[in-house]
Amino acid sequence: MKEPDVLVVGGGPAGMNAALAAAESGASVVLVDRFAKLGGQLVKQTHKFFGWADRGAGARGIELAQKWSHAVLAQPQVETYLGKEMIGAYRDGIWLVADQEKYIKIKPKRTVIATGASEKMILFENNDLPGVYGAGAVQTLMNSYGILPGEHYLIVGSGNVGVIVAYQLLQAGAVVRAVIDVLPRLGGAYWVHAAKIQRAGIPILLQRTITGVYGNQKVERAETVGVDDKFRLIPGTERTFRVDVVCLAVGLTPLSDLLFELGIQEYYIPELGGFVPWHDQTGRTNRKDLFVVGDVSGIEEATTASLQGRIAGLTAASDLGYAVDEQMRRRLIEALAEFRCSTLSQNVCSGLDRLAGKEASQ
Amino acid sequence: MKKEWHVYLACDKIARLLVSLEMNLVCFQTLERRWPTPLRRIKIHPILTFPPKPKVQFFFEGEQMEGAEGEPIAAALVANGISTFRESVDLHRPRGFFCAIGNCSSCLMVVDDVPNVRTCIVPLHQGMRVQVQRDKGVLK
Ligand SMILES: Cc1cc2nc3c(=O)[nH]c(=O)nc-3n(C[C@H](O)[C@H](O)[C@H](O)COP(=O)(O)OP(=O)(O)OC[C@H]3O[C@@H](n4cnc5c(N)ncnc54)[C@H](O)[C@@H]3O)c2cc1C
Ligand code: FES
Repeated sequence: MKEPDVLVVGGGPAGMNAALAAAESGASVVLVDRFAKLGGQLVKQTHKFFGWADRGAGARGIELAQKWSHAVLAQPQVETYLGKEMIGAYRDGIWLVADQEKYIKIKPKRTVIATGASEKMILFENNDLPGVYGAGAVQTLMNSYGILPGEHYLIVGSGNVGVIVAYQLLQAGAVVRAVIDVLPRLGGAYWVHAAKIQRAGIPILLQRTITGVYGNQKVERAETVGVDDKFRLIPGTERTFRVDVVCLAVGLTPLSDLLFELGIQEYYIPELGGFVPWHDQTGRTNRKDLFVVGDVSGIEEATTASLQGRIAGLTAASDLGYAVDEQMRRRLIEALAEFRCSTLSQNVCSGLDRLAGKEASQ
Repeated sequence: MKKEWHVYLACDKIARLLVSLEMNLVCFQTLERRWPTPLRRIKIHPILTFPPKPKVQFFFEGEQMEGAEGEPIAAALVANGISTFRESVDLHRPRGFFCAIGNCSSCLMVVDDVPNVRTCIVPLHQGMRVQVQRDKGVLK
Protein backbone atom coordinates (compact mmCIF):
# COMPACT_ATOMS: atom_id res chain seq x y z
CA MET A 1 0.00 0.00 0.00
CA LYS A 2 1.15 3.49 -0.92
CA GLU A 3 1.07 6.12 1.81
CA PRO A 4 1.83 9.51 0.25
CA ASP A 5 1.24 12.83 1.98
CA VAL A 6 -1.05 14.00 -0.79
CA LEU A 7 -3.08 12.07 -3.35
CA VAL A 8 -4.23 14.01 -6.42
CA VAL A 9 -6.97 12.52 -8.61
CA GLY A 10 -7.01 13.98 -12.12
CA GLY A 11 -4.12 15.40 -14.14
CA GLY A 12 -5.73 18.43 -15.79
CA PRO A 13 -4.58 22.00 -15.08
CA ALA A 14 -6.10 21.84 -11.59
CA GLY A 15 -4.59 18.49 -10.59
CA MET A 16 -1.14 19.16 -12.09
CA ASN A 17 -0.86 22.47 -10.25
CA ALA A 18 -2.04 20.95 -6.98
CA ALA A 19 0.59 18.22 -7.30
CA LEU A 20 3.32 20.74 -8.14
CA ALA A 21 2.47 23.11 -5.29
CA ALA A 22 2.34 20.32 -2.71
CA ALA A 23 5.54 18.70 -3.98
CA GLU A 24 7.46 21.98 -4.12
CA SER A 25 6.57 22.50 -0.46
CA GLY A 26 8.14 19.16 0.35
CA ALA A 27 5.15 16.81 0.45
CA SER A 28 5.23 13.43 -1.27
CA VAL A 29 2.53 13.20 -3.93
CA VAL A 30 0.79 10.49 -5.94
CA LEU A 31 -1.03 11.78 -9.02
CA VAL A 32 -3.53 9.47 -10.75
CA ASP A 33 -5.18 10.00 -14.13
CA ARG A 34 -7.23 7.49 -16.10
CA PHE A 35 -5.93 8.85 -19.37
CA ALA A 36 -2.55 7.81 -20.76
CA LYS A 37 -1.33 11.40 -20.88
CA LEU A 38 -1.33 14.35 -18.46
CA GLY A 39 -3.16 17.55 -19.39
CA GLY A 40 -6.89 16.86 -19.07
CA GLN A 41 -9.00 19.06 -21.32
CA LEU A 42 -5.97 21.10 -22.31
CA VAL A 43 -4.43 18.46 -24.56
CA LYS A 44 -6.99 19.19 -27.26
CA GLN A 45 -7.29 22.97 -26.98
CA THR A 46 -5.44 24.26 -30.01
CA HIS A 47 -6.75 27.81 -29.77
CA LYS A 48 -5.05 30.64 -27.93
CA PHE A 49 -6.43 30.85 -24.43
CA PHE A 50 -8.22 33.78 -22.98
CA GLY A 51 -7.64 34.96 -19.50
CA TRP A 52 -4.70 36.31 -17.65
CA ALA A 53 -1.40 36.89 -19.43
CA ASP A 54 0.84 35.80 -16.54
CA ARG A 55 -1.40 32.78 -15.99
CA GLY A 56 -1.01 31.35 -19.44
CA ALA A 57 -3.52 33.32 -21.49
CA GLY A 58 -2.34 33.88 -25.04
CA ALA A 59 -0.70 30.47 -25.01
CA ARG A 60 -2.51 27.54 -26.60
CA GLY A 61 -3.99 24.93 -24.27
CA ILE A 62 -1.71 22.25 -25.72
CA GLU A 63 1.34 24.37 -24.87
CA LEU A 64 0.19 24.88 -21.29
CA ALA A 65 -0.46 21.15 -20.95
CA GLN A 66 3.06 20.43 -22.13
CA LYS A 67 4.65 22.97 -19.81
CA TRP A 68 2.91 21.70 -16.70
CA SER A 69 3.19 18.03 -17.52
CA HIS A 70 6.96 18.35 -18.07
CA ALA A 71 7.22 20.04 -14.69
CA VAL A 72 5.18 17.28 -13.02
CA LEU A 73 7.15 14.47 -14.62
CA ALA A 74 10.44 16.16 -13.70
CA GLN A 75 9.40 16.60 -10.05
CA PRO A 76 10.96 13.73 -8.06
CA GLN A 77 8.43 14.15 -5.23
CA VAL A 78 5.52 13.29 -7.54
CA GLU A 79 4.78 9.72 -8.50
CA THR A 80 2.48 9.67 -11.52
CA TYR A 81 0.05 6.85 -12.31
CA LEU A 82 -1.26 7.23 -15.84
CA GLY A 83 -3.90 5.11 -17.57
CA LYS A 84 -5.22 4.10 -14.16
CA GLU A 85 -8.59 5.02 -12.78
CA MET A 86 -9.62 5.99 -9.29
CA ILE A 87 -12.76 3.99 -8.62
CA GLY A 88 -13.58 4.79 -5.03
CA ALA A 89 -12.53 4.80 -1.41
CA TYR A 90 -13.25 2.90 1.77
CA ARG A 91 -14.56 4.67 4.84
CA ASP A 92 -11.16 4.32 6.52
CA GLY A 93 -9.57 6.51 3.89
CA ILE A 94 -8.01 3.89 1.62
CA TRP A 95 -8.43 4.74 -2.06
CA LEU A 96 -8.62 2.15 -4.83
CA VAL A 97 -6.99 2.64 -8.20
CA ALA A 98 -7.93 0.19 -10.95
CA ASP A 99 -4.94 -0.95 -12.96
CA GLN A 100 -5.93 -3.51 -15.61
CA GLU A 101 -6.51 -6.68 -13.60
CA LYS A 102 -5.44 -5.48 -10.18
CA TYR A 103 -6.11 -2.71 -7.69
CA ILE A 104 -3.56 -0.37 -6.18
CA LYS A 105 -4.36 0.78 -2.64
CA ILE A 106 -3.45 4.27 -1.54
CA LYS A 107 -3.74 5.73 1.94
CA PRO A 108 -2.97 9.45 1.71
CA LYS A 109 -3.00 12.04 4.46
CA ARG A 110 -4.70 14.60 2.22
CA THR A 111 -6.61 14.13 -1.05
CA VAL A 112 -7.21 16.61 -3.84
CA ILE A 113 -10.00 15.72 -6.28
CA ALA A 114 -9.53 17.32 -9.71
CA THR A 115 -11.57 15.06 -11.97
CA GLY A 116 -12.92 17.83 -14.20
CA ALA A 117 -16.30 17.67 -15.90
CA SER A 118 -18.45 15.60 -18.21
CA GLU A 119 -20.68 16.74 -21.02
CA LYS A 120 -24.40 17.21 -20.61
CA MET A 121 -26.95 15.40 -22.75
CA ILE A 122 -30.24 16.75 -24.08
CA LEU A 123 -33.44 15.03 -25.16
CA PHE A 124 -34.39 14.54 -28.80
CA GLU A 125 -35.53 11.60 -30.88
CA ASN A 126 -32.86 8.92 -31.42
CA ASN A 127 -30.26 10.81 -29.39
CA ASP A 128 -28.46 7.49 -28.84
CA LEU A 129 -27.81 6.94 -32.56
CA PRO A 130 -24.14 6.61 -33.53
CA GLY A 131 -23.09 9.98 -34.93
CA VAL A 132 -24.34 11.95 -31.95
CA TYR A 133 -21.12 12.99 -30.19
CA GLY A 134 -20.20 15.07 -27.23
CA ALA A 135 -18.37 18.07 -28.70
CA GLY A 136 -15.37 17.26 -26.54
CA ALA A 137 -15.16 13.79 -28.05
CA VAL A 138 -15.02 15.18 -31.58
CA GLN A 139 -12.35 17.58 -30.40
CA THR A 140 -10.33 14.72 -28.91
CA LEU A 141 -10.58 12.68 -32.10
CA MET A 142 -9.53 15.47 -34.42
CA ASN A 143 -6.96 17.34 -32.30
CA SER A 144 -5.33 14.48 -30.42
CA TYR A 145 -5.53 11.69 -32.99
CA GLY A 146 -6.01 13.52 -36.28
CA ILE A 147 -9.24 11.72 -37.10
CA LEU A 148 -12.47 13.25 -38.36
CA PRO A 149 -15.51 11.17 -37.45
CA GLY A 150 -17.57 12.51 -40.35
CA GLU A 151 -17.81 15.04 -43.10
CA HIS A 152 -20.76 17.28 -42.31
CA TYR A 153 -21.41 18.59 -38.84
CA LEU A 154 -24.20 20.27 -36.94
CA ILE A 155 -23.27 21.85 -33.63
CA VAL A 156 -25.84 22.20 -30.90
CA GLY A 157 -24.94 24.95 -28.44
CA SER A 158 -23.26 28.28 -29.11
CA GLY A 159 -21.26 28.52 -25.91
CA ASN A 160 -17.51 28.62 -25.84
CA VAL A 161 -17.16 24.91 -26.49
CA GLY A 162 -19.57 24.77 -29.44
CA VAL A 163 -18.10 27.76 -31.21
CA ILE A 164 -14.50 26.72 -30.66
CA VAL A 165 -15.16 23.19 -31.85
CA ALA A 166 -16.84 24.61 -34.97
CA TYR A 167 -13.75 26.70 -35.64
CA GLN A 168 -11.40 23.78 -35.06
CA LEU A 169 -13.49 21.54 -37.34
CA LEU A 170 -13.07 24.13 -40.03
CA GLN A 171 -9.30 24.09 -39.52
CA ALA A 172 -9.33 20.31 -39.79
CA GLY A 173 -11.09 20.49 -43.14
CA ALA A 174 -14.61 19.47 -42.16
CA VAL A 175 -17.84 21.11 -43.25
CA VAL A 176 -19.89 22.64 -40.46
CA ARG A 177 -23.46 23.21 -41.64
CA ALA A 178 -24.52 25.38 -38.71
CA VAL A 179 -24.25 26.12 -35.03
CA ILE A 180 -27.68 26.27 -33.39
CA ASP A 181 -28.73 27.53 -29.98
CA VAL A 182 -32.09 27.61 -28.29
CA LEU A 183 -31.36 30.96 -26.63
CA PRO A 184 -31.92 34.28 -28.38
CA ARG A 185 -28.28 35.29 -27.91
CA LEU A 186 -24.84 33.71 -28.15
CA GLY A 187 -24.30 31.33 -25.26
CA GLY A 188 -21.24 32.98 -23.75
CA ALA A 189 -18.86 32.23 -26.60
CA TYR A 190 -15.92 34.55 -26.95
CA TRP A 191 -16.92 37.07 -29.51
CA VAL A 192 -13.74 36.68 -31.59
CA HIS A 193 -14.32 33.01 -32.23
CA ALA A 194 -17.98 33.55 -33.08
CA ALA A 195 -16.98 36.25 -35.55
CA LYS A 196 -14.35 33.98 -37.08
CA ILE A 197 -16.74 31.15 -37.84
CA GLN A 198 -19.36 33.49 -39.21
CA ARG A 199 -16.78 35.05 -41.52
CA ALA A 200 -15.96 31.55 -42.70
CA GLY A 201 -19.58 31.09 -43.66
CA ILE A 202 -20.93 29.01 -40.80
CA PRO A 203 -24.33 30.35 -39.77
CA ILE A 204 -25.09 30.67 -36.06
CA LEU A 205 -28.82 30.10 -35.83
CA LEU A 206 -30.31 31.34 -32.57
CA GLN A 207 -33.70 30.35 -31.12
CA ARG A 208 -33.52 26.97 -32.82
CA THR A 209 -33.40 23.51 -31.32
CA ILE A 210 -32.82 19.94 -32.46
CA THR A 211 -35.84 17.62 -32.45
CA GLY A 212 -34.34 14.41 -33.75
CA VAL A 213 -31.73 12.60 -35.79
CA TYR A 214 -32.51 9.93 -38.34
CA GLY A 215 -30.67 7.44 -40.49
CA ASN A 216 -29.91 3.81 -41.09
CA GLN A 217 -27.85 2.65 -38.06
CA LYS A 218 -26.19 6.08 -37.85
CA VAL A 219 -26.96 9.76 -38.22
CA GLU A 220 -27.75 10.82 -41.77
CA ARG A 221 -29.84 13.90 -41.09
CA ALA A 222 -30.85 16.13 -38.21
CA GLU A 223 -34.18 17.90 -37.84
CA THR A 224 -34.33 21.30 -36.18
CA VAL A 225 -37.10 23.77 -35.44
CA GLY A 226 -37.32 27.39 -34.37
CA VAL A 227 -38.54 28.31 -30.89
CA ASP A 228 -40.17 31.43 -29.48
CA ASP A 229 -39.26 33.40 -26.37
CA LYS A 230 -41.01 30.85 -24.16
CA PHE A 231 -39.15 27.96 -25.84
CA ARG A 232 -42.30 26.75 -27.63
CA LEU A 233 -41.65 25.14 -31.00
CA ILE A 234 -42.82 27.27 -33.93
CA PRO A 235 -44.54 25.12 -36.58
CA GLY A 236 -43.45 25.86 -40.12
CA THR A 237 -39.87 26.72 -39.13
CA GLU A 238 -38.54 23.15 -39.40
CA ARG A 239 -35.22 22.80 -41.13
CA THR A 240 -33.36 19.63 -42.08
CA PHE A 241 -29.58 19.39 -42.06
CA ARG A 242 -27.85 16.63 -43.99
CA VAL A 243 -25.09 15.81 -41.54
CA ASP A 244 -23.36 12.67 -40.35
CA VAL A 245 -22.23 14.08 -37.02
CA VAL A 246 -24.14 16.09 -34.45
CA CYS A 247 -21.91 17.64 -31.77
CA LEU A 248 -23.59 18.35 -28.47
CA ALA A 249 -22.07 21.36 -26.74
CA VAL A 250 -24.82 22.04 -24.26
CA GLY A 251 -22.73 22.52 -21.18
CA LEU A 252 -20.64 20.61 -18.71
CA THR A 253 -21.40 19.19 -15.32
CA PRO A 254 -18.91 18.40 -12.53
CA LEU A 255 -17.61 14.82 -12.60
CA SER A 256 -18.31 14.34 -8.93
CA ASP A 257 -19.25 10.64 -8.67
CA LEU A 258 -16.34 9.97 -6.32
CA LEU A 259 -17.44 12.80 -4.04
CA PHE A 260 -21.02 11.60 -4.09
CA GLU A 261 -19.90 8.13 -3.04
CA LEU A 262 -17.98 9.62 -0.13
CA GLY A 263 -20.98 11.59 1.04
CA ILE A 264 -19.42 15.00 0.48
CA GLN A 265 -21.94 17.82 0.91
CA GLU A 266 -23.20 18.96 -2.51
CA TYR A 267 -25.53 21.75 -3.57
CA TYR A 268 -27.46 22.21 -6.78
CA ILE A 269 -26.23 25.40 -8.41
CA PRO A 270 -27.11 25.53 -12.12
CA GLU A 271 -24.73 28.43 -12.78
CA LEU A 272 -21.83 26.17 -11.82
CA GLY A 273 -23.03 23.20 -13.88
CA GLY A 274 -25.32 21.26 -11.53
CA PHE A 275 -24.48 19.53 -8.27
CA VAL A 276 -21.29 21.02 -6.88
CA PRO A 277 -19.39 20.07 -3.74
CA TRP A 278 -19.39 22.63 -0.96
CA HIS A 279 -15.87 24.00 -0.42
CA ASP A 280 -14.15 26.98 1.15
CA GLN A 281 -11.76 29.35 -0.61
CA THR A 282 -8.89 26.87 -0.33
CA GLY A 283 -10.99 24.10 -1.90
CA ARG A 284 -11.50 22.22 1.36
CA THR A 285 -14.80 20.30 1.55
CA ASN A 286 -16.80 19.35 4.63
CA ARG A 287 -14.32 16.49 5.04
CA LYS A 288 -11.23 18.18 6.40
CA ASP A 289 -8.75 15.98 4.54
CA LEU A 290 -10.42 16.36 1.15
CA PHE A 291 -10.09 19.22 -1.34
CA VAL A 292 -11.83 19.87 -4.66
CA VAL A 293 -10.29 21.99 -7.42
CA GLY A 294 -11.00 22.86 -11.05
CA ASP A 295 -14.14 22.01 -13.00
CA VAL A 296 -15.26 19.36 -10.51
CA SER A 297 -15.74 22.13 -7.94
CA GLY A 298 -17.90 24.16 -10.36
CA ILE A 299 -17.48 24.73 -14.10
CA GLU A 300 -15.13 27.63 -14.76
CA GLU A 301 -11.99 27.63 -16.89
CA ALA A 302 -8.31 26.73 -16.99
CA THR A 303 -6.85 29.80 -15.29
CA THR A 304 -9.06 29.47 -12.25
CA ALA A 305 -8.52 25.70 -12.25
CA SER A 306 -4.75 26.13 -12.08
CA LEU A 307 -4.98 28.79 -9.34
CA GLN A 308 -7.35 26.62 -7.31
CA GLY A 309 -4.96 23.71 -7.71
CA ARG A 310 -2.00 25.74 -6.45
CA ILE A 311 -3.95 27.00 -3.43
CA ALA A 312 -5.21 23.54 -2.43
CA GLY A 313 -1.76 22.01 -2.93
CA LEU A 314 -0.15 24.59 -0.64
CA THR A 315 -2.92 24.29 1.94
CA ALA A 316 -2.67 20.50 2.03
CA ALA A 317 1.11 20.72 2.51
CA SER A 318 0.75 23.33 5.23
CA ASP A 319 -1.83 21.11 7.03
CA LEU A 320 0.84 18.46 7.24
CA GLY A 321 3.39 20.79 8.75
CA TYR A 322 5.49 21.59 5.68
CA ALA A 323 6.83 25.12 5.53
CA VAL A 324 4.65 26.97 3.04
CA ASP A 325 5.06 30.51 1.82
CA GLU A 326 1.99 31.96 3.55
CA GLN A 327 2.20 35.24 1.72
CA MET A 328 2.23 33.47 -1.61
CA ARG A 329 -0.80 31.43 -0.62
CA ARG A 330 -2.71 34.55 0.38
CA ARG A 331 -1.69 36.29 -2.84
CA LEU A 332 -3.00 33.35 -4.86
CA ILE A 333 -6.34 33.43 -3.04
CA GLU A 334 -6.65 37.15 -3.73
CA ALA A 335 -5.63 36.66 -7.34
CA LEU A 336 -8.30 34.00 -7.78
CA ALA A 337 -11.03 36.27 -6.42
CA GLU A 338 -9.84 39.18 -8.53
CA PHE A 339 -9.58 37.12 -11.70
CA ARG A 340 -13.02 35.61 -11.24
CA CYS A 341 -14.73 38.95 -10.91
CA SER A 342 -12.96 40.54 -13.83
CA THR A 343 -13.39 37.85 -16.47
CA LEU A 344 -15.96 35.23 -15.61
CA SER A 345 -19.53 35.73 -16.61
CA GLN A 346 -21.87 37.35 -14.14
CA ASN A 347 -23.64 34.02 -13.97
CA VAL A 348 -20.66 32.08 -12.63
CA CYS A 349 -19.90 34.81 -10.09
CA SER A 350 -23.40 34.75 -8.68
CA GLY A 351 -23.27 30.93 -8.54
CA LEU A 352 -20.04 31.13 -6.55
CA ASP A 353 -21.63 33.66 -4.22
CA ARG A 354 -24.57 31.35 -3.65
CA LEU A 355 -22.27 28.43 -2.87
CA ALA A 356 -20.26 30.59 -0.44
CA GLY A 357 -23.50 31.43 1.36
CA LYS A 358 -24.24 27.75 2.01
CA GLU A 359 -23.29 25.90 5.14
CA ALA A 360 -20.85 23.05 5.37
CA SER A 361 -22.52 20.25 7.26
CA GLN A 362 -20.16 18.46 9.55
CA MET B 1 2.28 29.01 -42.19
CA LYS B 2 0.17 32.11 -42.87
CA LYS B 3 0.25 31.52 -46.59
CA GLU B 4 -0.74 27.89 -46.31
CA TRP B 5 -3.65 28.92 -44.19
CA HIS B 6 -4.90 31.30 -46.89
CA VAL B 7 -4.60 28.65 -49.56
CA TYR B 8 -6.38 26.33 -47.24
CA LEU B 9 -9.19 28.79 -46.66
CA ALA B 10 -9.55 29.28 -50.39
CA CYS B 11 -9.85 25.52 -50.92
CA ASP B 12 -12.30 25.45 -48.11
CA LYS B 13 -14.43 28.12 -49.77
CA ILE B 14 -14.52 26.10 -52.98
CA ALA B 15 -15.40 22.96 -51.07
CA ARG B 16 -18.14 24.86 -49.32
CA LEU B 17 -19.51 26.06 -52.64
CA LEU B 18 -19.55 22.50 -53.95
CA VAL B 19 -21.33 21.45 -50.82
CA SER B 20 -23.93 24.13 -51.21
CA LEU B 21 -24.55 22.91 -54.74
CA GLU B 22 -24.93 19.44 -53.26
CA MET B 23 -22.24 18.29 -55.69
CA ASN B 24 -20.08 16.50 -53.22
CA LEU B 25 -23.15 14.72 -51.98
CA VAL B 26 -23.03 12.79 -55.21
CA CYS B 27 -19.43 11.70 -54.73
CA PHE B 28 -20.16 11.14 -51.08
CA GLN B 29 -22.92 8.72 -51.89
CA THR B 30 -20.93 6.81 -54.45
CA LEU B 31 -18.25 6.29 -51.83
CA GLU B 32 -20.95 4.45 -49.92
CA ARG B 33 -20.98 3.79 -46.26
CA ARG B 34 -17.41 2.88 -45.54
CA TRP B 35 -15.02 5.54 -46.69
CA PRO B 36 -11.45 4.63 -47.42
CA THR B 37 -9.17 5.42 -44.47
CA PRO B 38 -7.35 8.44 -45.93
CA LEU B 39 -10.52 10.51 -45.97
CA ARG B 40 -10.86 10.28 -42.22
CA ARG B 41 -7.27 11.01 -41.26
CA ILE B 42 -6.48 14.71 -41.26
CA LYS B 43 -3.64 15.52 -43.67
CA ILE B 44 -3.28 19.29 -43.64
CA HIS B 45 -3.84 21.41 -40.59
CA PRO B 46 -2.86 25.04 -39.96
CA ILE B 47 -1.68 24.42 -36.39
CA LEU B 48 -1.22 20.74 -35.69
CA THR B 49 1.01 18.15 -37.22
CA PHE B 50 0.29 14.48 -36.95
CA PRO B 51 3.60 12.66 -37.31
CA PRO B 52 2.92 9.19 -38.72
CA LYS B 53 2.81 6.53 -36.01
CA PRO B 54 3.74 2.88 -36.51
CA LYS B 55 0.87 1.06 -38.20
CA VAL B 56 -0.68 -2.03 -36.68
CA GLN B 57 -3.16 -4.58 -37.97
CA PHE B 58 -6.21 -5.54 -35.93
CA PHE B 59 -9.44 -7.40 -36.51
CA PHE B 60 -12.94 -5.98 -36.29
CA GLU B 61 -15.57 -8.72 -36.42
CA GLY B 62 -12.97 -10.89 -38.11
CA GLU B 63 -12.15 -8.33 -40.78
CA GLN B 64 -8.57 -7.09 -40.90
CA MET B 65 -8.08 -3.36 -40.46
CA GLU B 66 -5.25 -0.93 -39.98
CA GLY B 67 -4.73 1.57 -37.21
CA ALA B 68 -1.99 3.51 -35.45
CA GLU B 69 -0.16 1.87 -32.55
CA GLY B 70 -1.34 3.21 -29.22
CA GLU B 71 -4.30 5.29 -30.37
CA PRO B 72 -7.58 4.38 -28.65
CA ILE B 73 -9.24 1.33 -30.23
CA ALA B 74 -12.39 3.37 -30.82
CA ALA B 75 -10.42 6.05 -32.69
CA ALA B 76 -8.98 3.43 -35.04
CA LEU B 77 -12.48 2.08 -35.66
CA VAL B 78 -13.82 5.54 -36.46
CA ALA B 79 -10.91 6.06 -38.86
CA ASN B 80 -12.00 2.85 -40.58
CA GLY B 81 -15.55 4.13 -40.93
CA ILE B 82 -17.07 1.96 -38.22
CA SER B 83 -19.86 3.65 -36.32
CA THR B 84 -21.56 0.89 -34.28
CA PHE B 85 -19.52 -0.38 -31.34
CA ARG B 86 -22.15 -2.11 -29.28
CA GLU B 87 -25.90 -2.72 -29.04
CA SER B 88 -28.12 -1.57 -26.21
CA VAL B 89 -28.89 -4.52 -23.96
CA ASP B 90 -32.71 -4.62 -24.20
CA LEU B 91 -33.70 -3.00 -27.46
CA HIS B 92 -30.51 -3.77 -29.38
CA ARG B 93 -30.18 -0.27 -30.71
CA PRO B 94 -26.79 0.60 -32.19
CA ARG B 95 -24.43 2.61 -30.00
CA GLY B 96 -21.25 4.39 -31.04
CA PHE B 97 -18.61 6.83 -29.88
CA PHE B 98 -19.90 9.47 -27.51
CA CYS B 99 -17.69 10.94 -24.77
CA ALA B 100 -14.08 9.84 -25.47
CA ILE B 101 -13.16 10.07 -21.79
CA GLY B 102 -14.30 6.68 -20.51
CA ASN B 103 -17.38 8.06 -18.88
CA CYS B 104 -20.53 7.04 -20.75
CA SER B 105 -20.18 3.31 -21.59
CA SER B 106 -21.36 3.90 -25.14
CA CYS B 107 -18.20 2.32 -26.55
CA LEU B 108 -18.09 -0.96 -24.61
CA MET B 109 -16.81 -3.78 -26.83
CA VAL B 110 -15.43 -7.28 -26.61
CA VAL B 111 -11.64 -7.07 -27.02
CA ASP B 112 -9.62 -10.28 -27.16
CA ASP B 113 -12.64 -12.07 -25.65
CA VAL B 114 -12.90 -9.65 -22.70
CA PRO B 115 -16.28 -7.86 -22.63
CA ASN B 116 -17.03 -4.31 -21.40
CA VAL B 117 -13.75 -2.80 -22.58
CA ARG B 118 -14.04 0.99 -22.86
CA THR B 119 -12.51 1.24 -26.30
CA CYS B 120 -12.28 5.05 -26.19
CA ILE B 121 -9.52 4.94 -23.58
CA VAL B 122 -7.84 1.59 -24.22
CA PRO B 123 -4.87 1.76 -26.61
CA LEU B 124 -4.76 -0.31 -29.80
CA HIS B 125 -2.07 -2.93 -30.28
CA GLN B 126 -1.02 -5.30 -33.02
CA GLY B 127 -3.34 -8.25 -33.58
CA MET B 128 -6.19 -7.21 -31.27
CA ARG B 129 -9.53 -8.89 -31.95
CA VAL B 130 -12.35 -6.41 -31.49
CA GLN B 131 -16.02 -7.34 -31.57
CA VAL B 132 -19.37 -5.58 -31.26
CA GLN B 133 -20.82 -6.26 -27.83
CA ARG B 134 -24.45 -7.38 -28.00
CA ASP B 135 -25.20 -8.22 -24.37
CA LYS B 136 -24.04 -7.42 -20.86
CA GLY B 137 -21.00 -9.65 -21.22
CA VAL B 138 -20.19 -12.59 -18.97
CA LEU B 139 -17.38 -13.28 -16.53
CA LYS B 140 -15.35 -16.28 -17.58
C1 LIG C 1 -13.74 23.37 -26.21
C2 LIG C 1 -13.19 23.96 -24.94
C3 LIG C 1 -12.57 25.20 -24.97
C4 LIG C 1 -12.04 25.77 -23.81
N1 LIG C 1 -11.43 27.00 -23.90
C5 LIG C 1 -10.87 27.57 -22.81
C6 LIG C 1 -10.18 28.84 -22.90
O1 LIG C 1 -10.07 29.46 -23.96
N2 LIG C 1 -9.63 29.35 -21.77
C7 LIG C 1 -9.72 28.69 -20.56
O2 LIG C 1 -9.19 29.18 -19.57
N3 LIG C 1 -10.38 27.50 -20.45
C8 LIG C 1 -10.96 26.92 -21.54
N4 LIG C 1 -11.63 25.71 -21.44
C9 LIG C 1 -11.85 25.12 -20.11
C10 LIG C 1 -10.71 24.38 -19.54
O3 LIG C 1 -10.17 23.47 -20.49
C11 LIG C 1 -11.20 23.60 -18.32
O4 LIG C 1 -11.90 24.45 -17.47
C12 LIG C 1 -10.05 23.02 -17.54
O5 LIG C 1 -9.35 22.10 -18.34
C13 LIG C 1 -10.53 22.34 -16.26
O6 LIG C 1 -9.43 21.76 -15.60
P1 LIG C 1 -9.55 20.56 -14.61
O7 LIG C 1 -8.15 20.25 -14.21
O8 LIG C 1 -10.54 20.90 -13.58
O9 LIG C 1 -10.21 19.35 -15.40
P2 LIG C 1 -9.76 18.55 -16.71
O10 LIG C 1 -8.87 19.33 -17.57
O11 LIG C 1 -11.03 18.05 -17.29
O12 LIG C 1 -8.94 17.29 -16.12
C14 LIG C 1 -9.55 16.26 -15.37
C15 LIG C 1 -8.69 15.03 -15.42
O13 LIG C 1 -9.15 14.07 -14.48
C16 LIG C 1 -9.08 12.76 -15.00
N5 LIG C 1 -10.03 11.90 -14.29
C17 LIG C 1 -11.39 12.08 -14.20
N6 LIG C 1 -11.92 11.11 -13.43
C18 LIG C 1 -10.90 10.31 -13.02
C19 LIG C 1 -10.82 9.14 -12.18
N7 LIG C 1 -11.90 8.60 -11.61
N8 LIG C 1 -9.60 8.57 -11.99
C20 LIG C 1 -8.49 9.10 -12.55
N9 LIG C 1 -8.51 10.21 -13.33
C21 LIG C 1 -9.70 10.81 -13.57
C22 LIG C 1 -9.38 12.96 -16.46
O14 LIG C 1 -8.84 11.92 -17.25
C23 LIG C 1 -8.72 14.33 -16.76
O15 LIG C 1 -7.40 14.17 -17.24
C24 LIG C 1 -12.16 25.10 -22.57
C25 LIG C 1 -12.80 23.85 -22.53
C26 LIG C 1 -13.31 23.27 -23.67
C27 LIG C 1 -13.98 21.91 -23.59
S1 FES D 1 -17.21 6.86 -25.51
FE1 FES D 1 -17.94 7.21 -23.51
S2 FES D 1 -17.00 5.61 -22.38
FE2 FES D 1 -16.09 5.45 -24.31
